[in-house]
Amino acid sequence: MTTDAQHGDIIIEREYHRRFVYASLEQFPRPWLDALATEVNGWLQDVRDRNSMGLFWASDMDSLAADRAFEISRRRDGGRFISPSAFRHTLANMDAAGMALTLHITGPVMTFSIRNNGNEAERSARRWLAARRISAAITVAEAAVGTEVESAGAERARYSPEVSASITRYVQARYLRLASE
Amino acid sequence: MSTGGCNLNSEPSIPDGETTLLRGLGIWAPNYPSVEALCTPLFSDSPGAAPEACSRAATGDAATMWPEMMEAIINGVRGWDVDCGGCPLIFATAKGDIRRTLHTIDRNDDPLPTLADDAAAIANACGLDGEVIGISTACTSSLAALCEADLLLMTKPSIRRVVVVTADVASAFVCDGFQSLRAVAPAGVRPFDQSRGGLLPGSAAAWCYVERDGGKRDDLRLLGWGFANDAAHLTAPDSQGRGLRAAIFSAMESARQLPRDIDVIIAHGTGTAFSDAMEAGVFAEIFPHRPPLTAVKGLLGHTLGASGMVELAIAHEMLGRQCVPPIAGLDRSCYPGIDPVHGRPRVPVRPIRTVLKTASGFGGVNAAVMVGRRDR
Repeated sequence: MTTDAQHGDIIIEREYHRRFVYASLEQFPRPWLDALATEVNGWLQDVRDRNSMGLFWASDMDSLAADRAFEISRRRDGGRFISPSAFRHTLANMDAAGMALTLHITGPVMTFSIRNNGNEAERSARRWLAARRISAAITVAEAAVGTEVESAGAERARYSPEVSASITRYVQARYLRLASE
Repeated sequence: MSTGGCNLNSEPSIPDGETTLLRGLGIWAPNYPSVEALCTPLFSDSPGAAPEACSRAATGDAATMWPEMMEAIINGVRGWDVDCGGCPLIFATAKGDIRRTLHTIDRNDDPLPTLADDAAAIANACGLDGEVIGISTACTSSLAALCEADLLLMTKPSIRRVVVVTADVASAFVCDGFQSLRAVAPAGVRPFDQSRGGLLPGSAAAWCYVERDGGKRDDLRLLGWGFANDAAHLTAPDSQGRGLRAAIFSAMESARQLPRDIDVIIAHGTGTAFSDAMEAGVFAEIFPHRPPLTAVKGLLGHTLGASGMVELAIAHEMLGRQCVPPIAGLDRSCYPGIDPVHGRPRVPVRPIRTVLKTASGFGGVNAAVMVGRRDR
């Protein structure tokens, strides 16, 4: 447990870092979401009030994998077999929504698209906490290796849907709460 | 009853007399390139019905729509008489420039463009070199952006103002998606009508800057806001409306107002059976005084993430005109306990001081924003 330097009353209660490697874009979302849900669920075992808890999510992928899957279904056989289930996931907030559903977080769920501008999810969570609009937050940032989300010093890697070699992603999650709560 | 977990007693102190103001608010939509152009039919006796957004998108109009929107945004932002150069920009969208994304996938280009790239492109085109934030919370995106702007001003005293921009396009991608879900209205959008049959995707952009000061009488003031998640279903609204209810109570707490203080409601009003029923139930329960209720999507279509901010521009007009526009497409409401305005614009019995705008979307997101004007 550490105390936030900028806002002295925000505590980093728990933290999670993990690197995920995939063979293709299509493999991408499920394994890391499942691993993260298991981890965070453990953090929240004793937390009863999830109305005042927010989930803050940042990704540099948005819903690109789902966009691609849905687009393939649109183009197949003249669009006769468009997939409604694929469409459901073509919004950038759907991974966060799935996590909120799993963890039963009923406070604000915010999703940010990031590129090289760092972990906006955590910055937003700290604003909500500092303004006392929530009492706790789960922050999740998921990005390519080489972004600010990745731990310092790791080797930079690129990703592309057509690259058959590895796609490396980095996930960071935190459980923040107000010290006064 | 959940109140969204807001704790008023410990909210940061705000200098006396200062409120958060939405200034320079402009909109663009294919048939309504300004607030004025939209309000002319909206406040008329026969506001008409949503354009056939889906069919137009499918025939290729959406191809030119994003550039047109960007041009409108750039002109709007550059037309302000304040310096926003170093201010943060928050760009809100549900799908952004999806055509560019698909084009890039087709060409196997790398990296694939994301919403953050759209945000950076807008900042660059508008000459804004401050922090850039891309936010995407489905149909609540632009309301979320305004609230994030308020939080930035509240928690970072060095920030004087924040630019908020939103845009979404009824692309063939989006229209096909809603059609695959069987959510598209076969014959026009009819929010809260007994014959409502679904939504029609629409396209729109909106822009404003948010700052804090004493404000003028005509300024649109952000009185309070709240967000809550259903955590019930990925795409369908919670049938009990728990998330929307919590968001509304959170907004009222932050505005230090009570349900009876709400003078008008601008509902999300998509025209889909589940969403309309959920909203009507929540409004009937929270607001027994039955404030006039209106909705805009019968005229404009569902402009996705942009809809919230576009509809706040209409709230501003309502506060100025002291008049509530009728719901386009509404003939006979089938929901008890609410007072949807239909047929002709209505001048309410009591003055319009506070307008509640709500939105809900995929992922179980719910937003409530309260706006008003200074009385004198």
